[in-house]
Amino acid sequence: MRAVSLSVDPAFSDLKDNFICGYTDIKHKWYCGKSGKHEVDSVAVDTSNGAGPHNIQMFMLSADGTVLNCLPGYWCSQDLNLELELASDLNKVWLDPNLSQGQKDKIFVQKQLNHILDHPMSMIQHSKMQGFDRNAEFKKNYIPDTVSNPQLFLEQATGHINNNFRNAAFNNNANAILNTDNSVDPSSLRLTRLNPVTLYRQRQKQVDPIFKTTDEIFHERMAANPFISFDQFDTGSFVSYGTDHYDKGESKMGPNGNKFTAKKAVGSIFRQVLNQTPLAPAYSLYQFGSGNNHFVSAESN
Amino acid sequence: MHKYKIFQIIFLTILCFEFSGLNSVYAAKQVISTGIVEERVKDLTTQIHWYKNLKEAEAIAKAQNKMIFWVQMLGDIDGGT
Repeated sequence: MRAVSLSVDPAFSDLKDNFICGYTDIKHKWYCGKSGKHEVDSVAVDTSNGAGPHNIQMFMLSADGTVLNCLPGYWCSQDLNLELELASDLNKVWLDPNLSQGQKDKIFVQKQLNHILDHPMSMIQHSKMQGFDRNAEFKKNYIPDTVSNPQLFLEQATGHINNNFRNAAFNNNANAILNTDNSVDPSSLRLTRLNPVTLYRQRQKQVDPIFKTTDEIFHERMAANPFISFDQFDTGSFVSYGTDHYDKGESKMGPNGNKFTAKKAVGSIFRQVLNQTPLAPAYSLYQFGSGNNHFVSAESN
Repeated sequence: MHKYKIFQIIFLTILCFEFSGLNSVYAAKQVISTGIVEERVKDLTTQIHWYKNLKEAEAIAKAQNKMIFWVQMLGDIDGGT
């Protein structure tokens, strides 16, 4: 995050010019996840927006500590910059003496939700939930707010989700939460409709058919918390999606990002064995003819 | 004959590996090499002062009429994360 996003323009310049910056280590917080090791003298790898939400949260606050915006997990620099701009807009609303608290809250909600539609296609593509985070969502025994299509979610969640819950949800076309004895809590049954914004995005932009993208998830969650103070902000709920363990394996990479794996080791042994056999010239010819030099490029990356 | 069969098995295994897509793990991700990481982290932590106390950051933000960018992270901004 430091080397791939925060220190890169346009976000870097915006942070330098318009923000007072600070940080805190959250390793002792209950909502903090686990992560692979990232040292200053190791390589860094970019990832998708919203990945690793338990391990990093970036708050944009007004000077009095009111939360204007918050990004869970990693965000690429250009997408982060759009959210810094939104925070700047919301700060003007928050500081406007001519608006009532009710008016400010209403504008906050509108701006957060409308911002989803303003995101460029590149940001939406960067924000697709990764496979390991989707799997973690499938294991929940309720339909989480990260789901855009509950019907498809229930179909795909076979094996993870309790039958009582699935039947209740199907029969009622509803959201449902299980009691501790595995019966369905009737108070949790409520009609679920596909969010029109989600429908629009799925139709127009062909994103994940089951899950919302992370840019949509965090804006919806922000919209539920208009202008609250940092002390009252429920970070644990805000970051509750996906797996709590995140590791891109940078610590296992060499200085240029090449990674030692068992597969690579096997490939290396095969090459060495092959070079000692009469098949070596044939294989070289095959590689030369097809332009296939995966092994070489992997070493030199 | 026995030696020929071993060569045949090795050759077929390599062909399977080549065409199975298993070696696609080598496909390029955007990797920032160690030197650049060090340089960027240095820029980030020297060109921007990172407060560790939110109340202190709030006081400075009020005085300078700025917003606050507050990062909650696993680890240290200038060390291991």
